[in-house]
Amino acid sequence: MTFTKMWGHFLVVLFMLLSSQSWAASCCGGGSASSLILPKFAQHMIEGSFVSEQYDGYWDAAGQWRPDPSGSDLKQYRFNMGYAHRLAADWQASVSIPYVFNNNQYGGLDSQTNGLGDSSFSLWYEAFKGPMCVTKVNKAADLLPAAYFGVTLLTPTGISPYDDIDNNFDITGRGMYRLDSHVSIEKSVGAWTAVFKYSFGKYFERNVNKEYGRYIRPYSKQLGNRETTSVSLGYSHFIPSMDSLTYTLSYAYLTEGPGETAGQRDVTSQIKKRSTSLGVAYATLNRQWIYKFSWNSALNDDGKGENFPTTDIYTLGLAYVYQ
Amino acid sequence: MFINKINKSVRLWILSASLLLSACGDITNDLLPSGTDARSAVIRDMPGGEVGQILEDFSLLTTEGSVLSNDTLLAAGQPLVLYFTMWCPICDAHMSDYKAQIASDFPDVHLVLVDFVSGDIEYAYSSQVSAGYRNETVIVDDGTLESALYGSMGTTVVVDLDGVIRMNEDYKTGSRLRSVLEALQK
Repeated sequence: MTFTKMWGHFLVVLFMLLSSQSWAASCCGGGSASSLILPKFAQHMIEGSFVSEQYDGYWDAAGQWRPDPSGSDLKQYRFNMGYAHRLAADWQASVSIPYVFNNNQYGGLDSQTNGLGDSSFSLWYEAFKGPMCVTKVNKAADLLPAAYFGVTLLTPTGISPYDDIDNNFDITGRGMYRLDSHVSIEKSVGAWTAVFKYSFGKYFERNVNKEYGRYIRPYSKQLGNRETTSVSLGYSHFIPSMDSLTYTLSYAYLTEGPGETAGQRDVTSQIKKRSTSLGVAYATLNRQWIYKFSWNSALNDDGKGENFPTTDIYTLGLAYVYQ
Repeated sequence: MFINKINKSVRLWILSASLLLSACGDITNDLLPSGTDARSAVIRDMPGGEVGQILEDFSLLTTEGSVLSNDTLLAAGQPLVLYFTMWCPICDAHMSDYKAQIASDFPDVHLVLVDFVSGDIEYAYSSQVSAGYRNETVIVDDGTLESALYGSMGTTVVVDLDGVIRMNEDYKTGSRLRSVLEALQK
């Protein structure tokens, strides 16, 4: 395998693992699209993806998984648009905007709503100067990984409980600003790529004077710190046309700690979620077009989450990279 | 050539973003949140859903099939807490907090869950059992209480023995509910 092919594999795996992973949940907010990453030597990139999230029960406050009532059918669809732009050799910025369609049938309620989700703006620093992938490890330096450090500002452009809505099925966003800091460590050896990613998010405190369209006694609210840890393993191979296919398997753990409401510690907003993802990406020989499909599934067993819906998320994405 | 490519892609992105933004409604509540108290003045001691008003008459079925009315509930001589649930994780977090932190200190309070989304008894009972609340009293609301009390997910309403509403807001941390119930005990 040549070095160029290796580098191509790495870029596709990177795209698969870092772009547009979503952790939405319409009855708890959501609709956000996380940041996307531009390959090292690319100038800019446009990405579009369609996400279908299907709800299947939830973990209660004690971590016990409970099914949704029979006959209920809760779905959220998101169309994400993203653009990443290289600012300098090691710096890049990106923006991602989701548009959300909620489609819920629950008992006597049949609700279809749509609106903008929460948008995110990111800045990334690449702590490496060139390809860090190797065909095989011959010396200690070959073990050095590629490291990315980034920040993302999540902005509440979606529809939240603090807007003029009737019920939680209408929600497309959390209604809070959040600043995330990220670190991502990747290493490719041969056809294999391993990725470790950690994000820490801090919500900004905000005032609330309206809930579900009704003015209420004003109070302050701040959600708890959000942490996401994920590990991924990818494998790539070339097909006879020299286009490539990449398969990835990942595991993620998401938590939000206690928040603060009206000056009081708020444990009712705490969440935990464990999930796994499987993905496949197809990239053209010149690495300009990348098509991807992924399936993220929450581990709907007792103790694998708390206070959060369990969902299956299917993502179909397309990116065009300007080299 | 390269500049043209950039311009084309940037223009495409800006156009698409503009279309999306133009489709969104009033999002300034979240982008520029306000702490101003914008509530209207309330006429107290009149039937209504605000604090200080009197709980309006209602008569609704429970998941057990019995009829519950405001008169029935108040005749029991216990303060009443109505909690609007849609059997979701946050609703469970609120109720778990109530059971763990508040219920034992107020044994005379009558908690009634209001299912305002299920719409029929069978469905509501199924939801109640799935969510682990088989032993609670659950009213199957047909929109009456939702409208009268501005109910939404997590809305918690406290009614005193005279039928006067003492609290009507989201459960939040439960501390406001506790202080209202404590005031009723004095």
